[in-house]
Amino acid sequence: MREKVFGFGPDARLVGIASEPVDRDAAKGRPAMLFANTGISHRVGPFRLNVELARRVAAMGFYGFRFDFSGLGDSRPAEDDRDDYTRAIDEARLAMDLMTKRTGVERFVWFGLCSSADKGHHIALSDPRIVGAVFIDGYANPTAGFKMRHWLRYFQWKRIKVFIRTKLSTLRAKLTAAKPQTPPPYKAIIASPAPEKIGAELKTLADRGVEQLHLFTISTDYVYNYEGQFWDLYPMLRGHERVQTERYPEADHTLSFRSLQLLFIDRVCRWMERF
Amino acid sequence: MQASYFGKSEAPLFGVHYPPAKGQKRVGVLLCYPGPEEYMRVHWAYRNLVQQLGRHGFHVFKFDYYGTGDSAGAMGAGDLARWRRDAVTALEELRDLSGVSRLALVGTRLGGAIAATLGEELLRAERPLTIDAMVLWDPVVSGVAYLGELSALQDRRILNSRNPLEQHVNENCPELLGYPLSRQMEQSLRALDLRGQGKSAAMTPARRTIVVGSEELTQYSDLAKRFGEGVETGFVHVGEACFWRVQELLEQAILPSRIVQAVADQLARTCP
Repeated sequence: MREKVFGFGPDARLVGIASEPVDRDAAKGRPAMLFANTGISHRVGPFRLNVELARRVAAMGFYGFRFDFSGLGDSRPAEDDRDDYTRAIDEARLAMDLMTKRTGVERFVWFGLCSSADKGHHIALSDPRIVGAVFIDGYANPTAGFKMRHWLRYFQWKRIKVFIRTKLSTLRAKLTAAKPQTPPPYKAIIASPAPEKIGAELKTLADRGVEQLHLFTISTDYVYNYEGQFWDLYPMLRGHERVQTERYPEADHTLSFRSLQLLFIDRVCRWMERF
Repeated sequence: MQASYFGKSEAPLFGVHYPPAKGQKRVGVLLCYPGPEEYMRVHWAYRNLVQQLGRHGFHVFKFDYYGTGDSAGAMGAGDLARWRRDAVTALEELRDLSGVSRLALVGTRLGGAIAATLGEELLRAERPLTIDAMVLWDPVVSGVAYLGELSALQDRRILNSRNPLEQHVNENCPELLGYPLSRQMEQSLRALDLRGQGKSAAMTPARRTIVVGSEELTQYSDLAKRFGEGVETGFVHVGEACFWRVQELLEQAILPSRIVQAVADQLARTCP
């Protein structure tokens, strides 16, 4: 495996790094995996997740390409007034054009965590070269099942015990590092569009043949708190062979422990074997 | 701006060279990142620092140590000795790319400690490298204390989390804040003590050394004095919080505009 740095796009203002598999001829027939920024963090990803995954998929025989959107990481800002989504779609297109020109690869899988899953959703809808998507902590909305479980958690004896213990500790010490182990009150602070819209769009992708892996960590439990909520949210996707979803209640949003990073990298690599 | 891999082909390092925005000051500045635990936090601040230094006419080069960022190597693969060699390799790359003869260093947190202890590695360089100036931003002064801080943050993170994070602690594979901590790295950190190493051959022989601190800690003013005798030294306190030890902000980028300005100004003043 070797890696190459590319400047691409207008005035070569965008920076990307391709992880090349040993057998580059065979890799031409397989999709390349694309990575970009999560939030304002640069392309290496939280806890270097994108670098590690790009190198792992390269070892499996796929190209990996991680890049910074304009104005983020090492890429220079764009000098126009396009909105974030339009620009992300355009810049992902430039990344795919570059990879096709330099490697011959014509199909792509988007890997997105959080805001990168949001961008990836729009990119996948707009570009038919996207044939797969891994979305971690992507869109989610509360369902009736979510609300019931959310409130029921207040009545778990284990949580009540922790809460009482913490309060007593607070009284004793006035200040304690431990916080009450109760869920925050449910608040409808949902950035996701309506589930009917998202479901229809995901189905459009699935019908187009886009393989999808939707993973959720416990950090979304303010809006997504049980295995199978995905199917209740998007019943039109239930049973669709292209769509898989899993919930990892042991994992936090940025996979801030080594065992979690390896767990998710292994899971994504196993899923990539379908290509 | 030119991003590229450099160094040995079997273990290339990632770096970005920024030519000056105006003028041609014949000085190149190497930016040394903190350790991996704080690397992501300063990426934005370094981006801003690059712009400020560019306006002052400096060539700037930033790079990722082995096993961090986009450089080769698995996470947890490097140690301080390796990262010092990487820093000297990056200085050579900066000199070759820019053609400058004068060099300066900026290091933050663990990067400050690395920048300050390049003495022996500089002697091994193929061609002599002379360091004009060095600005250390909140440098790690004691490796033992640094390990203690990170361990305490790790413990608080687990304790304060609503999620059952303690199940991920693996005594056989130690890690700090999401990054593996190898035995070699732990040992090299435990051996790091800038106060003890002051004036020794291990220290970087810069002509001017300025410590820029976000906190008014005596260890910073003491450190500045250590470089003494024939070296212009100073400690600049900029009262702008960086929250290095605040558990809730571990994954937040820091954007200390006044500190970044102070670092750039100090370099502009000491490298006319």
